[in-house]
Amino acid sequence: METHQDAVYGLCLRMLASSHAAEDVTQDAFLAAYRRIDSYRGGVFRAWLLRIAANACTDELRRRQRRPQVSLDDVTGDGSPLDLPDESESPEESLLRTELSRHIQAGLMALSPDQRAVVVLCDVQGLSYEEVSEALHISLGTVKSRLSRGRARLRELLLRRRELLPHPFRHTV
Amino acid sequence: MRLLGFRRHPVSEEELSAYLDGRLPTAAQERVDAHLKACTDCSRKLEETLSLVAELRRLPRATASRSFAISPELAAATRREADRARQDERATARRAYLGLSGATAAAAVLLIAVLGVELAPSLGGNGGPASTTPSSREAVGVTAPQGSGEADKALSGGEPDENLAPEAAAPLPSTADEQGRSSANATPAVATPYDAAAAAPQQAQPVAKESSHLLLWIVEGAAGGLIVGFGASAFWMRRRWIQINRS
Ligand SMILES: [Zn+2]
Repeated sequence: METHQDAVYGLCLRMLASSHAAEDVTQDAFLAAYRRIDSYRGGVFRAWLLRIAANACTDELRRRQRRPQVSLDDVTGDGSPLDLPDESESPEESLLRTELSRHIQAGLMALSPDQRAVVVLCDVQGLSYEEVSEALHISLGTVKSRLSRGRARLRELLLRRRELLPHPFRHTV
Repeated sequence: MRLLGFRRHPVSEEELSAYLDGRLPTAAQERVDAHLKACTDCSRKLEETLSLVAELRRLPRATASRSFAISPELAAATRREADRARQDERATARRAYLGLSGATAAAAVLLIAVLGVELAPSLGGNGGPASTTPSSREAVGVTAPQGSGEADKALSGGEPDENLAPEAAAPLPSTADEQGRSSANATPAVATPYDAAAAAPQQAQPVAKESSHLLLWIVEGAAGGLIVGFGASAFWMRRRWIQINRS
């Protein structure tokens, strides 16, 4: 299970934008997986695990909606695991990247949880459409449409703050 | 202008998204290719989306600060907790199943009793509870003894005198008489003390037939609803209980 831990934690972190919540939900998901291990019916184990984690995230988000007290400080706070600096970059680049990464995370949070889960699994974690379909228990068509709508929304959100973005976004303008 | 513009871009957002992942069927891909060559708007959109996807890929891959592996202690605790929860749920399902079965049976008894009350006069040979005076007067002679016989059997103890004595002594016509017989006939099904107590006032001050039938129908409907509701719930609880036992 250990090898899948980062995938599960990464999904939870991007879904919840809070390292505390992500750790709790990841632990819950692993416990739930452990309890339900007899219900594992083959297939890609990681997808099965991610499905449990995605459901746990949805539950957590619903709970949050009922009593909205969780701040998103984690997203922008220094030293957040959401924006670990890349060692190979210069300090300036790294600063820009951190800035961009925060904007992207804020953009992700503006998507519906359904779209966010697809975008995170597909584009952040690099799963194939098929893997995402299995992990979230949705059809390929649903994967495609949620992904395209999520991407379009994110693109519009980021273009609105174009001036803050580093070259990859600016040179296309 | 917008309409024109829309028609000039025969490439949907979803197609563009699938296109950049290389997931479009060949024909659609060729169509998008051709359009992208001709349309700067769409090719810019594609570029922006590609940049976005590249940025998403480059987002730092978060690693947790601790391990979430299940330690043997945690595993044992989880098993114990799960077992306890299962036992609890099983006991609750069983209690609920038994309770709901009882409630279903009680509602069925109520329905049978009320039906008995309603149908009893028609057993006596006339056209049902709504029939009018002349025929019911004739029927009295036949049914009255039978009614009191049943009542005697059913009313254990010395209660029969209270509600049957007036009827036997001087058979009353129509409403009051029928009410008396109705409750007497119904006694086998319902608890006796209630009827013994209720029959007397009914004879003293006759209730309008219409409203008493309406009341019966309401009680029947309610009893039927309760049977369906309790019965379905009991069935579901039993299934749940069996499920838990099997798991
Ligand atoms: Zn176009």
